[in-house]
Amino acid sequence: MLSDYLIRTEPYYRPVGDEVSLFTAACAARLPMILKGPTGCGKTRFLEHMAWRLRRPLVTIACHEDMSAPDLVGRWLLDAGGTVWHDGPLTRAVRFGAICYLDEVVEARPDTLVAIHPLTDARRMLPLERSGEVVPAHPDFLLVVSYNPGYQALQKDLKESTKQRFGALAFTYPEPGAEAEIVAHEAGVDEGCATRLVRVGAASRALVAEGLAEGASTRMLIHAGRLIAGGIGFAPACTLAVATPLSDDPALRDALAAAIAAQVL
Amino acid sequence: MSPEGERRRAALLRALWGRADPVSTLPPPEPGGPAQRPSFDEDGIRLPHGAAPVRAADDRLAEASLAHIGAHLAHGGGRFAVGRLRPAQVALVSLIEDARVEALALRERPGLRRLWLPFHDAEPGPRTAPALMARLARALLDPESDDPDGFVAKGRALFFADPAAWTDPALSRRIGDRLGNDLGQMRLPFSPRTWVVEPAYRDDHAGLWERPEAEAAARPQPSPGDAAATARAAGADAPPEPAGRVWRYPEWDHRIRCARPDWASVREEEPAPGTALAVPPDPRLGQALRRLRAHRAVRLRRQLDGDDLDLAAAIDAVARIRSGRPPDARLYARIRRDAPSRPVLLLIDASLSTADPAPGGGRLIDAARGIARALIGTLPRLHVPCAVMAFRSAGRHDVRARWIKRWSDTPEVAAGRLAGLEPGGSTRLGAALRHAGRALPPGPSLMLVVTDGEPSDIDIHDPAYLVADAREACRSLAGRGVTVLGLALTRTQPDALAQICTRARCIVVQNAGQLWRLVETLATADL
Repeated sequence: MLSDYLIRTEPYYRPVGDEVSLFTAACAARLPMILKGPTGCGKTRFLEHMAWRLRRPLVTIACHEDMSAPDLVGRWLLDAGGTVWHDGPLTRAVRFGAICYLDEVVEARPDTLVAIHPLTDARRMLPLERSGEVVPAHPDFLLVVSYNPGYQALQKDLKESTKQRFGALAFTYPEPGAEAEIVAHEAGVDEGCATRLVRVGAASRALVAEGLAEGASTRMLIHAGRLIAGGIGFAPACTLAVATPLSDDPALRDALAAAIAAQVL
Repeated sequence: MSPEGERRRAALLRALWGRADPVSTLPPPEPGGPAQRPSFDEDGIRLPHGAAPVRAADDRLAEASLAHIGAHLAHGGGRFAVGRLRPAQVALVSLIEDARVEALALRERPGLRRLWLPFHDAEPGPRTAPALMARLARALLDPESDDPDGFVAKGRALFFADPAAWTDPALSRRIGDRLGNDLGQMRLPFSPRTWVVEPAYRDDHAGLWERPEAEAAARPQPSPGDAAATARAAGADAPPEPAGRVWRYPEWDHRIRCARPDWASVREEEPAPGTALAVPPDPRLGQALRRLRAHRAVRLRRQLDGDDLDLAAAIDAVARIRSGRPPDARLYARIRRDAPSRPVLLLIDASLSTADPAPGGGRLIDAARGIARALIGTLPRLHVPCAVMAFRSAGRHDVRARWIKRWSDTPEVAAGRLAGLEPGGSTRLGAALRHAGRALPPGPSLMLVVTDGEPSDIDIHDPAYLVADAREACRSLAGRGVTVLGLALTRTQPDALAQICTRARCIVVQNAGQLWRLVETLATADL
């Protein structure tokens, strides 16, 4: 039923601690999980990797302001013969046993998220108010949510009653050696180039103290690396993939440009 | 002064070296004196006199200096003792130390060589001590150097003999001593008084050597703003010149529990005609404010028109059609944003105490200016009316209010005036609050008071007096629908400000980067 959601080839993931064993244990204990961490530091990749490793389908839902409970659990639709019930992605994951991943969960309104409460305690079931059905969770069902506890989560935090149902793993940018390894692998550049890209990343993260909203993510550095592997020069690649997207502030862009220039051989 | 250029320099130091040392400029050089060189010590970095250019391309010398000084800060090993070294030896030890920290910097930041090398323009020529030193400096940085001089070649050989030893600052001492002896044996005169370090981006080595006690006590004061502030403070003591319109306001005397009518006189100063400056919006602040507003969004269902189909209404309509009844045409849903935001007036305390250093580096007034810039760059783009007024005082007869941004002024004009705002005078907050309140349109509005703490004035000796008066002013503003929020530039919530605008409405915002605290208060507190 959910075979389209199975991940068939191993997604590359370089463990930075014991997160793989911890997540496996949490999964065995059917403990819902929060993945916290800044943009582009590998939360989604980690989960894809774990879904592959645990051979479970992965249903991803990107949360947004306007998401309503029916968007998650399902709704009545019209067809030629009348109304039919259509399961939402969450209901499908619950029914057939998948990992349901609510990406950037704080973007969703708190009242929408209340729908997941009965799933995340001892009941492990999903009552469908509109159709009058109660869906017991498949043994393989696991709920995982992610969020970025940065500035944007300012007035948005999970309700305490939601938060306390979860275990959590905190992600951060990998330490420089590991990050260089990841960039080298994902972008197909040599170790030296990856190391210099990681230094550009570190410079941008230092600029957060000067007003930059967020430093360069590992993902951005990989993008720059891919451009370099495709034959673009180091400085233009970093400018395109890192400096220009990160900031509109001329002072910060100039500082980033200097940090990039300092890494050009 | 170019705040934009100063910000860029600070950001550059942070991006290259992850450091936040304060960067200022030296006072103007004496006419006919030696060329100025940058300098650094525990108090921060001082670049040669002059405004920081706005464009990075015009500021390569400062960029090279900051990269070089950052290398000292990152790879230096504390101050050297002068001991019995002769001046030529001191200069040469410094030169080798410069080369050593640059060589280490190049290991992790290879591109810096392209930044530094263009400033090394020493060519073979007459054998004077300064010329040989400049040539040696170049030979130690430029891998393609082929200086034929024996002294330069020896220095190069000694330096590159063991790159593994570069991490040890004692290396500079050893090589510098030997080269200094050689220079002495060549009988080349060296005058430390007229000598300036070459190339121009390198610092004057004041941060490398232990200071004699006397010199340590009489260090040159940085920050050209200080001089201006002192001058203005002196001017503030002079009797007020009778010019322009005067507004008189009552003042609350907490001892007699009564307002003294027409007690304080406020004049409006003409804003200095600054040049218009670009004000980039603060993206984080804008995003946070937009979110704040988005949270107040209301979804209207069953509308005659709108952005989305209202699915429930559509289904009902079809059900009605099937059952042979006329459908309801109100099939749409749309989102209504909240009513227009309240106008915001920012009141800046520009008293002399804001010349003090801010907790996060720079002066308090710079932090206040940063906050004002972020707000005037962001609020108008969100269609929030916004005005900025600065004030200072010198007794009850001379309270000055200066419009940085009237409601109708463009952010660019305001930013230009803001750049010319310098500290001076005292803080008679109550009068300023009442005067700013006049400028607010009727209806609910928000007044933000940026200050470094407590009100004071030269004719008031009872610290509680002005606090009580300002609190009274806040109360009467509240009665008109004006919410007064105090933004404290200090590390912790100042008691006086908390008393004036209540603890819940006094927020610590040390710089523009902390304006999220304001947004947070707006979001959570019941204002």
